[in-house]
Amino acid sequence: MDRLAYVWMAFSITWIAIFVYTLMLGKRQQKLAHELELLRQAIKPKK
Amino acid sequence: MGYWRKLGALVGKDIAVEFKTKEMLSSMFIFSFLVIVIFAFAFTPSRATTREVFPGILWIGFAFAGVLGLNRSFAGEKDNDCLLGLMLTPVDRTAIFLAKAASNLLFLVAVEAVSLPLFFVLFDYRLEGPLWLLLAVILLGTIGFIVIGTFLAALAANTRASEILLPLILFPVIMPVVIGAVKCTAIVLAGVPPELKGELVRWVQLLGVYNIIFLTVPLMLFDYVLEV
Amino acid sequence: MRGKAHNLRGHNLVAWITAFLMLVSLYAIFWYAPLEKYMLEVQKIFYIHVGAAWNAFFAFFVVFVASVLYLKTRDLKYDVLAAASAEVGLLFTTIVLLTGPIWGKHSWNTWWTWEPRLTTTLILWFIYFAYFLVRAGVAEKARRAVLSAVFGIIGFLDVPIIYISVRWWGSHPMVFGKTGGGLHPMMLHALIVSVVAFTFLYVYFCQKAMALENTRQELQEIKEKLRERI
Repeated sequence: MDRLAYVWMAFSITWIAIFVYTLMLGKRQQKLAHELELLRQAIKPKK
Repeated sequence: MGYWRKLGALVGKDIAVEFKTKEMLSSMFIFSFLVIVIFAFAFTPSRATTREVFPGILWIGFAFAGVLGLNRSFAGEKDNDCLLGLMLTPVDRTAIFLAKAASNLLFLVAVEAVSLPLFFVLFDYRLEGPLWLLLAVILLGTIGFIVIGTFLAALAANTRASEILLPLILFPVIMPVVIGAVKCTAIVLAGVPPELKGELVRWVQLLGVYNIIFLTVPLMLFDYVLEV
Repeated sequence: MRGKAHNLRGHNLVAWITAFLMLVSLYAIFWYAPLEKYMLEVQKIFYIHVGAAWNAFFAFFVVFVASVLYLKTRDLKYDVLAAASAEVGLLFTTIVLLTGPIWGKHSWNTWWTWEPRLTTTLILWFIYFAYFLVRAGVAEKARRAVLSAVFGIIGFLDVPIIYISVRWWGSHPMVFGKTGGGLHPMMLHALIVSVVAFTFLYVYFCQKAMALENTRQELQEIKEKLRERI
């Protein structure tokens, strides 16, 4: 394999890993926002 | 009662339970026997390569049988809330840990005592080095395995899937013990050639240091594991 | 969530610095640092490999310190810190374990060598994976914090012994030192930039994960309170 292919592979894997983790955090945040929204809906009719 | 008397009483309790149920020793022994048979099929015992991996096979057998026993040592106490009773006994928490470790050590040594000759017979292995040295090295490795194993078994017993969890958390942590014990055993089995003497001493030292560290650290942390 | 807003103090600033430093490190790696004589471009992997490795160990050190502090103070914020740090550490360890073999494939013509540092990293990965298994196995908050703190301490204390034993075990001669002895000063600059960039990335992720966990817990509390009222 070409030398540059190795470099490309290593860097892209690193960036993909970082990106995936960022997505995971984003997903977690989305879930929380969703729950928050549910809570808001639950409280609303009472007030 | 003095500290040691209490410790003795706790160990005695474990032994009495084991003699009543006989579930731990028998399953541990049969399991290590099975490991021997499986490896005998996997590696032809008469070939020279098998002689090279023999120490590794030995320790795999011991480690797997040991995990089996460790799993029962605290999980068994959970039935009928025995663990709570154990914690209510008027002894220092360290005594509970040391007693558990001692009884686990006793059980594993008993299993090893029976399966070690079997390993030698079934693999047709001839010991080159002195027997006492082999036994000493195996005991050293077993102590290292048991002290951290007992501690992590107590930790795992508090989790949901403790039986699956224990091997997963134990094996990475005991990696140095496995490496050291296998190396030591291999050197002793080869008859301690003079050029490897220094290496043997080094590995024994490593195992010694490991044992000391992971005997003292659990003693300090055991209180936290048992609190509810 | 106003109560926990302090958790995110300077978070945006850290994000911008991280992004900036990541770009600078790319520049430093590919343009600033000179080509290595023997490995040529492949040596560029070294910068991210070491940057991630350094921070993986740092992350696990933070787990250790936070675990000790938790057992001392029983303040759940240390537990949250330990969990977040272990998570980011696991990410960096994964990066190290993926980039290492790629580099090794070129330099040693084999994907995996049982080189002490790489092997230690692998065992470290197993230990901190186990850390999350411990966390996942306990439902109650305080109990989970105690057990995982205990395991975090044990795991970290084990690392030096693992490293020594793996080094003694691997009697294979090393093909060459990773840094190859003398590092060109410009390469050193690039390495430092890369390490600092990864450190900021670590801080950024850690902050984010902690804030999310805090929010989740607070939300949980509010839910429970609401349930009681109903």
